[in-house]
Amino acid sequence: MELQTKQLNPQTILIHINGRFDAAVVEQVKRIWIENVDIHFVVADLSETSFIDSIGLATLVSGLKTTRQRGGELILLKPTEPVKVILELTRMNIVFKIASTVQEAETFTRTS
Amino acid sequence: MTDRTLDEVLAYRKRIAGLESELDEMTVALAQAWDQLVPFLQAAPTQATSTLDIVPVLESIIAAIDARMGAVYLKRDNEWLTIPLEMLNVRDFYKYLDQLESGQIMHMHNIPAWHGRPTHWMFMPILINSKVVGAIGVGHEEGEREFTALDARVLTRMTERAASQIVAANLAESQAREAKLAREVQIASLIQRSIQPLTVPRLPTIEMTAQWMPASTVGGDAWGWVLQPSGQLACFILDVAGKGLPAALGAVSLHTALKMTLRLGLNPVNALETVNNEVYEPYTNAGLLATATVITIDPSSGEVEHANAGHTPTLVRTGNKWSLWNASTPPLGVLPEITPQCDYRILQSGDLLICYSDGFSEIETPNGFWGTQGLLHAIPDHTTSIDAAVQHILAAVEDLPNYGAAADDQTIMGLSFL
Repeated sequence: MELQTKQLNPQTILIHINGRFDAAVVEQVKRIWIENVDIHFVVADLSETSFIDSIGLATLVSGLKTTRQRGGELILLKPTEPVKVILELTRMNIVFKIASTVQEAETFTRTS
Repeated sequence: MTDRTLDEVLAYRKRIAGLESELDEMTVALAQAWDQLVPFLQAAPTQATSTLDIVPVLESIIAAIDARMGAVYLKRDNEWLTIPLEMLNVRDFYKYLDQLESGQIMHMHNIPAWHGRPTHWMFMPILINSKVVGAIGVGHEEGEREFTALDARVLTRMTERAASQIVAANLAESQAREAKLAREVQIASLIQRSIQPLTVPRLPTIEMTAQWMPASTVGGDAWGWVLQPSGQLACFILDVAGKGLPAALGAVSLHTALKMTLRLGLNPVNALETVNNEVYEPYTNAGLLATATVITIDPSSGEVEHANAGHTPTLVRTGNKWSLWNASTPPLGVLPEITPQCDYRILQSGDLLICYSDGFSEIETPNGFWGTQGLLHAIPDHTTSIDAAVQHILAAVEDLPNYGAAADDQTIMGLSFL
């Protein structure tokens, strides 16, 4: 698993999760919004995420709740097919805003 | 041999004799010093959790090198002790703390003692794995005498002794902590096992079977059943995200909540809605979520109601055709309010229902995840008994190439209408 972050603007951070999104990485991901209290919007780039398990989903939900408490949002960006299947099976696809481009994700941050 | 060479040889012999005599004196002094150490060391505890436990070692050093004063400092709790008491102001010692990090003997000169006279201290850091965890020092009045190499050697060796006391205490502390944790996990495991039903309902028209297999001592899966006041059989399967104690605690509380709501006669949709209302806040605080499927079945008519919150699809076989009842709402604890949909069917004789946790569908095979299709393919078409169907699935898992121990909890629950 490889994790990369990019600050899109002072309130928005993009997290690129490459590989498996499971127990091995969740603490590292959570720290990003816990330690940066100025972050209101998180764009979780899942375009190269090969798999997400229930702990990964719980982490995204935790990020969603945290950002919403700050008046923001956690947006999923381009989930891969295996991730999309999990999101649909668990009905989590109705919980998150899902963007197909970074520009679209940024639009969500402006309209939230 | 010239006279000059002879003189040089004689001078060398004299020097060697002098060194040998010095060495003899040092050996005697060292032996005497160690003799003095023995009674103190016998009184020293094998473990040190505070400066008091190091006092016998400190007293032994003072006696062995005939020092006036001694001090011991432990970094962890910022503990400070001197012999005699309050001989050295800890604030004066703190000024030299950085020097101790070198791991070498440190001298402090002209340090005011309680009687106002300047003192000279020699401190040796207590090192554990090259890390400074404290220091032991001895002191004289300034100018009284210099500390010798022998003094330094005694201080160094005895500080190593104190370090071994601290290591022993740390080890004992960590073993006690581990034992306590293991006991707690064992208790959690017992509680979790105790909530899983030991038997299945004995009803003339319904055959039920289940297997609960946590991946470790405790896990996030659970299943259960109750007979409702109306006579309907209600059963459920749940999976709290994660592993270990947090997931197990979540599973136990969710199991209790679901069982209570179903015992009160709620239908699957209302049971999930009610439980979600209760768990949303605590799950939000704890960063948890849980998937759950609830089923009620009327033993006389075969009427089935089903609701699925984020759980893996329920496999339904009517006639010879398999269909899936998918989740209609996200898992519990994700949204403050959920609106599950009810799947409804009247079962016919021989129809099967199978609920399972993602510990089955997410088994990794050389061709990707085993998935729902893996479970379906494991059940031969002619299978009519639910117990046989579940056994076929379990056997197929064991037969998977390179399948070792389960990576995730595995729970499976099945029903057939007779």
